[in-house]
Amino acid sequence: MEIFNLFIKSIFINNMIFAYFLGMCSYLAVSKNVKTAIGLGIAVTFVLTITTPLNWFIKTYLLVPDALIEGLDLSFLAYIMYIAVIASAVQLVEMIVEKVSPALYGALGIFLPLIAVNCSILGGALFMDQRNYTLMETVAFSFGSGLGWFLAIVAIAAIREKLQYSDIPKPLKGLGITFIITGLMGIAFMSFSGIKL
Amino acid sequence: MSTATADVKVEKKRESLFSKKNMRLISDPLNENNPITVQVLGICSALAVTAKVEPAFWMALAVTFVTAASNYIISLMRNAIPSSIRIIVQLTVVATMVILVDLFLKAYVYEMSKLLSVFVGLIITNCIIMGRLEAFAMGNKPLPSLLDGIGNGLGYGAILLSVAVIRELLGSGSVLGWPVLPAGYVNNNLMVVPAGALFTLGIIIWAQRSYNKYYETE
Amino acid sequence: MQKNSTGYMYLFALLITLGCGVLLAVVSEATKEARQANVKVEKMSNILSTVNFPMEKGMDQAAIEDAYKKYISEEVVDANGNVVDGVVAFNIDLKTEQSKKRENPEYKKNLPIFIYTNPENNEKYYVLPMRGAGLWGAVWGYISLASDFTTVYGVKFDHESETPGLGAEITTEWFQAQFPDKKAYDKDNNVALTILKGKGNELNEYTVDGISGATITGSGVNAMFKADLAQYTSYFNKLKNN
Repeated sequence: MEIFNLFIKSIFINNMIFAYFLGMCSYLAVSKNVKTAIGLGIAVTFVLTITTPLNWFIKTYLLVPDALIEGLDLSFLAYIMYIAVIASAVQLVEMIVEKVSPALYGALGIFLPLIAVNCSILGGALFMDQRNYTLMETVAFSFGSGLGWFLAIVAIAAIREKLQYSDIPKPLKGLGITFIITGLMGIAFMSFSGIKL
Repeated sequence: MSTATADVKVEKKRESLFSKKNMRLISDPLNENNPITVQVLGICSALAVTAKVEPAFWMALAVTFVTAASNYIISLMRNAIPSSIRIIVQLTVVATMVILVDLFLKAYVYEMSKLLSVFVGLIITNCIIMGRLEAFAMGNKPLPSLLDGIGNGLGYGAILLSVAVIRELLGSGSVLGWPVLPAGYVNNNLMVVPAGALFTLGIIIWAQRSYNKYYETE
Repeated sequence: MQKNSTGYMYLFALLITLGCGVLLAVVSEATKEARQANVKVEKMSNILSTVNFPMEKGMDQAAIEDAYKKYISEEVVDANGNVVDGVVAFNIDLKTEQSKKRENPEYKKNLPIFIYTNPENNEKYYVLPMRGAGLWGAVWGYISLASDFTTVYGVKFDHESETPGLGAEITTEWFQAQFPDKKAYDKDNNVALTILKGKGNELNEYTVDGISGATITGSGVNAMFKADLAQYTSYFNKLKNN
């Protein structure tokens, strides 16, 4: 039950975009139409769900004090290890997807390299580290956060498609109005924090 | 990415550190070519630490250090880096700098390291840094790269601090923890929640772009 | 060697990794003591401030450590009130204890107690650590009880990621100042200390005002009181009967 709770919380309440602003760069850059937004959203969810548990293993069996050899504390290498795992996992996923499902590769392919520097992926690993999640919690948290990110980018892309037909003051066009709308969506999402789980 | 700074040519004459060209490397990113509001980079970590001025200040300092240091180091090695592993080398250098900052904060500015928590680590994926390495440091000498790094760090810091000042002033009635607004002021909770950061930044962008007459065409 | 040859690439990668690794290992080793001392002294000063120990601002780390060693004694008990030997109270991590309990309901939690003896009147105060969940992440804190085992003497809260200006206000002076002289337990030894919703409530000896707009953090802290303070009742009963 607690795992499910965390899962729902990561999607709606602790949303990567609306609560932590993570992955904003690609969120702003690739949200001009819904189709590409869906592609990137799926790719982020996919990579987040794979790399965060992977980093959990790295942390638990390599980095924690005494994990590798008695008396050895490698926790200062955490950031480097996490980003290296993410970068290589992205590469690996790209290769596997290309081999196994060319159709999926066609849809995700161009987004995968972008994801290595998406803050939400590293953010997922760092939150996992800081909050000392167990393996099950990590899986629920990373999948939930990915879905939350997916939801956010698809929603903003749909709104931006309609925005093209609205009369927005010139200097506010593009970046400015996207921020303000994201803020409004964030407020709407805040109402979820009232749910009793 | 930025076009204004990417094509600084290799100087023939030895020029002074404070030459006009070098000063522009610092002043450009502050307004006309600001990494956040114009180049749209590095927003991820920019907003989460802006509810109060003090963490925003430390964050700006940390990012400036990391951008400047990694720009300098990568520029020193720019002719030796094999292009096939370029990105991973850049990431390694940036991550090393970030860990240095993190260790320093944890050892000497412990209170702040608790406040900034994971956002220090997230500097690694701050697109400003990777963006500057690719666009500037890989093609320019160490010294201009260092200045470019400082400039972009400061430009980032300027936006961070203005958002933080507005949010802390309206959201908590204080600046740097000192009460500024009269006691009767009712704190605006909208400014404190994450959405407040987005509104503030949106409006700053609006103001800056109408001043610079910079318009986005979709 | 050719710049784009595979051999050069491996050599370069190796050098970079070595260089960064050695640099980080050195800096990490050099700052290790300072970092660990920060964490340790923070915990000590939290415990001391819960019993209103006079701490001047800018008191240095060594002085805090000295004061802690001089005036605080530690004890570990279990839920039945028996003293547990061989465990250092200061090193107990509540989060690990709680997750062990969650995974295995049979597990007997180690409950740390920090006992402060006031040097002026030899009065004893009992500091209990607590940990629970707020709105965004964990909340934790310390509460000190006077020697009647129910009157609150002081509290200290902290949190992982509550909203600044809302939930994060639990760490503020005005909020924590409401707790002294309230009662933690009612006459039947049930946890009764409660944070109400919002400000301006009618208060009794068990209740304090909440933070407007931070109801969930408040109820999280209440749940933390309920769960963690209840664990110590049998230990206090034993002390009372002695």
